[in-house]
Amino acid sequence: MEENNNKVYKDERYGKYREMLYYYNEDGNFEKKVEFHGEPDRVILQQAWDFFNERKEEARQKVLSGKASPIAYHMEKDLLDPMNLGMAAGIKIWNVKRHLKPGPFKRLSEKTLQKYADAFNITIEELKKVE
Amino acid sequence: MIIDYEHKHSGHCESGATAGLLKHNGLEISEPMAFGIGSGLYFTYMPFIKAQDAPLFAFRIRPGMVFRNTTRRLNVKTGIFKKFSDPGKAMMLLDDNLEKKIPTGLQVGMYHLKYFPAGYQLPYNFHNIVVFGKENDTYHISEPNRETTQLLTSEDLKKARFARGMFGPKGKMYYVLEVNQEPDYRKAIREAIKNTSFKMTKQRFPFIGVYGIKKLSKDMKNWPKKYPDEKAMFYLLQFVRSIEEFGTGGAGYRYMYGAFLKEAADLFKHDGLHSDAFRMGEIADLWRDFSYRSARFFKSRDDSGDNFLTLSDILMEIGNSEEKFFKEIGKTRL
Repeated sequence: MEENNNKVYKDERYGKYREMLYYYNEDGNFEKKVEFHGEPDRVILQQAWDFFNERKEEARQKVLSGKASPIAYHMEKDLLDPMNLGMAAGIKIWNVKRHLKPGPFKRLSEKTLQKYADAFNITIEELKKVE
Repeated sequence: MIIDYEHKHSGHCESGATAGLLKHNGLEISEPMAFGIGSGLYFTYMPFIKAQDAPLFAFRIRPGMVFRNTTRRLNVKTGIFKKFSDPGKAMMLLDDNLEKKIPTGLQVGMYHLKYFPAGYQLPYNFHNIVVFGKENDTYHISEPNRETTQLLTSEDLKKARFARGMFGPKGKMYYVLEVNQEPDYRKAIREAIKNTSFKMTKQRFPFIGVYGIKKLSKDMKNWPKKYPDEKAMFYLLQFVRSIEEFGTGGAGYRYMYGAFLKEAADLFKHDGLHSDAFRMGEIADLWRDFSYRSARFFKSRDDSGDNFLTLSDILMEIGNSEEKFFKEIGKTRL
């Protein structure tokens, strides 16, 4: 498999795989090429990831300073929002929003914690701390 | 048990899976053809449904419809299980199919597909894959978005098939039983084009079809006033990502649809379709232009070049030309 030599992404994991892209060329024919995303696409994708990383970092700082529960961090890490997280874990959305605060999070039962841990695909110990 | 299935790398997961399954049964059609006959092209903008805190944008019809439309229009006998209540039974039926040497398409959530790097493991439930073999506890998977086939453990596959979240797949599976070797392409393509035209222009609901594009263009003008800078930027970012990134083959499937029209024109030696294909290509170039200019806007982050107003004007232009195009294409005589 070809490696992507064009290092636009900061993260090594991204942009490793080629995709099938369609083009319309000047003589009026459509063609398909298997290749890496072009430069403008990469700008968009890098911007998106920067944005998600920023949000993740913000959430982490909030958790460390005791303004939010670890669930907020894990939610941002997995690119979820309260509604999708609630659907994935099987918990009502208003409860999810409540559990994003540190106080209600501390009072959660083992069963609910397990639900969240399953939704994030991690163990309860990992759920309770941020990286 | 591994079935001799030819893996096909494709731009769009569902039409790729459909074309692959048909080819395995002896009916060779290309990916754009499967996409076009399945009338996969669409546009939806749902500001009231949020995905990752941004409105939901979609450039394709409901998941599962491409396979259903294509196989119906080509008179192919299929088996479709819409949903299962019991994951164990769903996995058992899949194993049965593999024993019978039937490669099976599945709708899965991308979140649990371990072979994607972390950044791609999104909570996205409309992905399609084809399973074509099982060894011990590992499934062999033909992943349409990858050049090579992949492996996945049965535990992960089970999780992916029953991923929870918005529009969960609920274990949906589909397969081809018997193909009609000489289908009536003319009738199928005529129906498909009419259907796409109807869906894009005749449904007068402001969030779908060409009206959705126009509505989005109007809303986009207000984003910088209505939301803080970061949020407005994020909305635009998500929109451009859904045009270029999410397995669309580029420009929100418009290039793929053009390729379909071109192929159909070559098949029937139809001049009208030829010129339609060119026009589709030009509209697709407008979409591409839109995403490139947005990218430049993101990079510079200043309003001197492009801003939300100019971008929304481009979108309005796209909306108008698509409206004209799809209205005319519905009247094509085949």
